[in-house]
Amino acid sequence: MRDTTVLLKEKLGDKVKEVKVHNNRRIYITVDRKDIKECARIIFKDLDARYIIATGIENFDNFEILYHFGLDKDGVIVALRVYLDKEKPEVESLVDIVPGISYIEREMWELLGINFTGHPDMKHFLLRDDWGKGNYPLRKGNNGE
Amino acid sequence: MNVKKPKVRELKEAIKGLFSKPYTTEFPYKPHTPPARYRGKPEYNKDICVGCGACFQVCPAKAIEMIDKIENGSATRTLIHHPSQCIFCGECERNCITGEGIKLTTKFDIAYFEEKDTLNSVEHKLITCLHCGTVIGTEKHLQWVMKRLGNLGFAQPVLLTQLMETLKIKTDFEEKVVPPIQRTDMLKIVCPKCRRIAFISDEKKER
Amino acid sequence: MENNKKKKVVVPIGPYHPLLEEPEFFALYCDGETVVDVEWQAGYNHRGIEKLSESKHWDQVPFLVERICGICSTSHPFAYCNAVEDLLGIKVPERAKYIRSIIGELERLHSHLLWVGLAGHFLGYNTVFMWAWKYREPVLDMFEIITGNRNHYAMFKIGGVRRNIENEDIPALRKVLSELKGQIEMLTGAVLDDPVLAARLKGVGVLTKEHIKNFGAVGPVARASGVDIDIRRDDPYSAYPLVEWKVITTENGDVFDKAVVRLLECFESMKIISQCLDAIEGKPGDICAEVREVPEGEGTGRHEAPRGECFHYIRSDGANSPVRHKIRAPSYTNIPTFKASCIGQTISDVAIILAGVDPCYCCTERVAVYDAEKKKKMYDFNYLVEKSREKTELLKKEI
Repeated sequence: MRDTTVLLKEKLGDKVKEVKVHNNRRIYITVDRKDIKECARIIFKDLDARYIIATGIENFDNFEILYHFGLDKDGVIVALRVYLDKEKPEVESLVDIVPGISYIEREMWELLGINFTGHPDMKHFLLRDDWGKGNYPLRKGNNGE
Repeated sequence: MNVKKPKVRELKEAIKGLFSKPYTTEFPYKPHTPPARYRGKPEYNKDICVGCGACFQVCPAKAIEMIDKIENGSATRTLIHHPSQCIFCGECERNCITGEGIKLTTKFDIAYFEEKDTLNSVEHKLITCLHCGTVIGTEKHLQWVMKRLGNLGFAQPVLLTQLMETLKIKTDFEEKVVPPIQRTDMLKIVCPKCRRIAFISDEKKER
Repeated sequence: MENNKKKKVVVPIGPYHPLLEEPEFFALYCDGETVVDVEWQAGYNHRGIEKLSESKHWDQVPFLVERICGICSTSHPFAYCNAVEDLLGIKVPERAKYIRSIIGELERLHSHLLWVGLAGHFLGYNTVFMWAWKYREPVLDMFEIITGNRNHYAMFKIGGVRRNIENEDIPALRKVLSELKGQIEMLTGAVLDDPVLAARLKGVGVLTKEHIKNFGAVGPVARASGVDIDIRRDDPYSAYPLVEWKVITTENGDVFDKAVVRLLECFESMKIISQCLDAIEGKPGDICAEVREVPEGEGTGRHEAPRGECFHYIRSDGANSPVRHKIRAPSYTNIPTFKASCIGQTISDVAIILAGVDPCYCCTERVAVYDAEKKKKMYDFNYLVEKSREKTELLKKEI
């Protein structure tokens, strides 16, 4: 059984800012927002991981996105964490690498207001097409008006 | 050809289906008894329920309503269960401190014309602070706590007075406590905040 | 893309569909009878569950997530409890593990039988529909006896299960399983041997391994294409590492293979259930570990639902409710594969290809075919189902 933490650190090299090993099956790696596309490519293509989903979270002083990938041979879930600016949350879209990620990026845009640059088809997915601008339901201050 | 053989086993099943009775029951023309541990409509047991409000706090669907009414010197707490909101999960039964105060029956046929016919409620007397009027708890809840604490309960004046109530020893704490409250008022029914004031207030102040 | 939209016929399937109980919208762009592109628009059933979760206590959340779906009702509480237990790092008592697996596998049985019935209905085999749902009834009755309800079992709690399985119910459960075995064997034989079904379903809606990887598809959809993933074996949890069973995969990735995978999985489920029953019968034990509070941290949990991997992510800050609860149902990544499996197929196959994915988040009843240029309604969904059945009749005559 290979040690996935060592393997990941090796492959991602100096792009890794912080590694949190919660237990032997859950690893959380923080990377910089500029490197996310390259890191996702390494994990998805070189390590042949499976795309699971991406989570968007609003914190007090920043936004956070977690990209969950599964290394099924080892039963490990690797989460790539990026922190985004609170005022203008923006990150590169990963649609060229993982085509299926298009839907969750649209959902994160319309529910949290995170901008994905380079997304080919950014339009409403879950909400009505004439939903007002600037009204992001999943943000903390929004209580459903 | 393969097509003939499968037809035989399916034919057997079809004939069996033709001659056996339908799988469904004939409710509502005939009554239907659900299994013993079916999760049906919850109902309060007026004698066992102590009115602590735990069911109200844990209900995921907020189907239990708790109303504390204080007027003209008497205070009552009413707990009402609304079957129209209920999801029949059983959290109220699982968290009931007495174990039997509210239980899920096997009643499933609860359609109604008037909602007030299906509401299930229970009412208890509330104990309030004689100085500031805040709610301390229901009388039965405090007596239940005292019974479980045994000798340790004697350290708490409120529980002590409740014990005396259950033993039918006459207490004369019915009058209101007029400010400024003093240390001698501590044995009277007072809430923690007022008791703190009584403990540190100046005893020499005239009433 | 723009040119295509102007000249081709658009078939909107949506938002109500007789295939399942929930609405969704698909627009099929067709050139004559062949489909060239598909667009998926979801959200008709969006209930804001992730936001609601932030206002419920830790122990109230299982009841909320149970009601995400009626068919795979236990998968979401299972994945949620796995996530919180991963955060806490606690171990669940052994009896609770077996009970959780029994409930999970019984649910897989009833869900696959439901699917077999619906697939039969769409092909025009209404008898399969009636029989499959009749065999499903004893399973639902067993749920009623053990858990108190036919759906929404309310069995899961962080740290274990809420109710015990009593010894007197176990013989009835064993009897149901032994009868069901013969009945599913008959259904499997009927599907595998029937030449009309083979002609109708083989080669239809093929998904290659690359499609599966690009969309992240999971469950029987992935296993039918030869991608060997199963959370119960890869990331063991609950009683799955304690019993013997195997993962079913096939190679071709068409709708026929998906049916085969689902039917054979039923037998594995029955094997797991009877081994779990042997392990708990007559042996008392704890059913729940005590959990006092949930400290700060994050946890990830998943469960192999009947439709694939159900994934929950939880973040806590030490308070009474979760700060963020991310839920990913398996159909979220399975339905986009419709984009790949529908291209090049005819309209009459669309209904069964969609059914092959076993969407748990969609349902379209009112399909309308619009002529894009004249903006006139041409056909509706009943017409599509009829076309599907007509094709079956044609094939029957040929064979």
